[in-house]
Amino acid sequence: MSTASQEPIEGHVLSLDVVVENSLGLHARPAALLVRTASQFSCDLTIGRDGHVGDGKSIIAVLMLGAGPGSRLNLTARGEDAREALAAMAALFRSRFGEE
Amino acid sequence: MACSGKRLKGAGVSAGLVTGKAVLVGRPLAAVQEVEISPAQVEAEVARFERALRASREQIAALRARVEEVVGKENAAIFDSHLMLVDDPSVVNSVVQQIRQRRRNAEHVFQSVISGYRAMLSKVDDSYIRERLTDIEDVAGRVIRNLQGHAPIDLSHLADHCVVVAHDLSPSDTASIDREHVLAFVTGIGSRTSHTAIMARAMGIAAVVGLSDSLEDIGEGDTLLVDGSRGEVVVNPTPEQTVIYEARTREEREWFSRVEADAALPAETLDGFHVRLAANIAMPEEVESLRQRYGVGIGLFRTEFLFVRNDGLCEEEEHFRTYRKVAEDIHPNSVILRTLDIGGDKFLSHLRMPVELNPFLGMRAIRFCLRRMDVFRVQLRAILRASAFGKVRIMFPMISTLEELQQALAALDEVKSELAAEGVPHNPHLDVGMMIEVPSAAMIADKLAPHVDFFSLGTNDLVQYSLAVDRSNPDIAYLYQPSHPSIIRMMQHVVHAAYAHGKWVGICGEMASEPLLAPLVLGLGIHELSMSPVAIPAVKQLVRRVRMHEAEALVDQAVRCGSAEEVLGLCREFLRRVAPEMLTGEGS
Repeated sequence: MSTASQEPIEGHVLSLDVVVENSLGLHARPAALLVRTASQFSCDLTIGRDGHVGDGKSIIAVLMLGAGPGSRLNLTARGEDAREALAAMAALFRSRFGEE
Repeated sequence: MACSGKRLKGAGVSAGLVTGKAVLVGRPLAAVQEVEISPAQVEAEVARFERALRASREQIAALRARVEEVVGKENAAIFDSHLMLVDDPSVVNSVVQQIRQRRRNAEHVFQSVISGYRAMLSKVDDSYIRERLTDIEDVAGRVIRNLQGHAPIDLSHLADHCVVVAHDLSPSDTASIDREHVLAFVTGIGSRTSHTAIMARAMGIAAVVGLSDSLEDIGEGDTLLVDGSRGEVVVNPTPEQTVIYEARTREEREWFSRVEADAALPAETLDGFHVRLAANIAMPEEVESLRQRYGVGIGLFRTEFLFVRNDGLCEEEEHFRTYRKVAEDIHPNSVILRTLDIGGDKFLSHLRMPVELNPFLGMRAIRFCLRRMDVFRVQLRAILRASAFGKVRIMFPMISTLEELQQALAALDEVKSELAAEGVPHNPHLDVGMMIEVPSAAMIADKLAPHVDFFSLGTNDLVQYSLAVDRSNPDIAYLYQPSHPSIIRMMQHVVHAAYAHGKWVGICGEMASEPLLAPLVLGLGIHELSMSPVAIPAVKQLVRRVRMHEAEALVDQAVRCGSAEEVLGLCREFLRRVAPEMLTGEGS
């Protein structure tokens, strides 16, 4: 997991770069975990890869990224609890979704 | 009635012989009209969409509860992903937005949004994710039916004595079946481990799956005779056919009652040598009938289904509950739990197995587990915990080197100390064995034997690897020769090595279930013969007709043969002498 920038841009939009480090990538279980975690926050959360951006609270959108191991993803959050949401996301990626 | 007496062949996945009226359950989405709506209707249309989502959510939650009650939590997990799909904000937001912008009816908009996602998802280069399409279809169909005001496909109010016929039954369909009225399932696709099969067995409903195109021979209201043990469906059977099937079923029942009577007899040769007969099984549901009918233990319990059934990786608790139940149900007999054996021809897409050029020579079984210690340790913990509740043995598949065995044993020891430190009950002295299915392991059996309590010969793979034959390739299938002298010699080497170290040897390949070859297996000094449960009675009969010293003499001759055909000739001659009636119908 690498943190590139976590500076507020344009008011309340925070951004975070993460790398998928678990050896299986963002398959169904981690994707579900990510969506469940994201859904606990009220802020808008997007997840993007190679220019494709999806809603971080949408299981279909997250699966569609097809993010395999080593993928670099950009997360953005906008809203009241944006900072907390990104911190939770960072922790999730750092834990490799509890996998190897 | 289009066909009369036509026989359709599929896979019998849940036993039972029944006759009932066909009810065709179609699952294609109902035709959806495109309707323009006035600006004034827009919000009402959005509200209608939201009501349909709410209804879908409630139906899924109800199904979830029902499945959890009937077949347990692990099968209900699939509905969690359905719930997540119903609430998916990408879908919901674009539908709401498009209803407002394009002013079209919710059904039409929803279906076009789903088609868009379906098209994109089917391009994702990941089979597991592509498989999620089935879930999306299931959920989308439900939402559309709710929008159209149709009741959900509800199989709980069917007429009496019906047979449900469908291309495929989704988990939600199967879960809503009312077992009072439904006699059988017949489907176009599916396998023994598919959801429909598992549910059918759990509910005690006969089922034949995998009929593929011949499903089209069945019309609504046809009378169907469904034979769930043989995997046959007869459309509008003639009176003669009904009589024949009934007679066969009666014979089957009588045969089973004879078997039950025989179950009390020991598997003992004429000169008083005991062997242990045991069963290979893959599903915990099979244990009950195994104990009642055959009174034997389990020589091979395949654990793969625990990994297949789940969306993600199985939790330790689920493994533990399953193993504990098997150990308790089979008591006072023992069970050998084989650790995860995937790879080769068995893949689990959610484990993201790499695509390999030579999967049978690749990342299989113990090789995978040693790489994925996270997966392996969960299973080891669960097996050890279950060992406190019965006679549990553990066995590692596909060991090809001493180092692999040592690594697997080290992992087991670590998990034992972990459990001891946590104060979790387990049997630290449980028997540990390994499969011999790779020629390298067979040849160094003397070096492996000191580290284990037993060997189990996996002859299917041993033959495949020794003769370098892919048995699924019809052009070379003739090379698949379990009776080849090389195999008999290798088995003999393994048994001698085990005996020299005071260890026992079992066999869990198909060779054990073949009455023609069983004398060889006995003569080799193999202690436990584990096989498909239905093969047990015949093998037991044979054991009771053999003298051990004769079987040993047969082995002495066999190892001096040059070809499988020669060995088979000796075996036929042997069988003709001791049990001529068993020679009929042997095809090899």
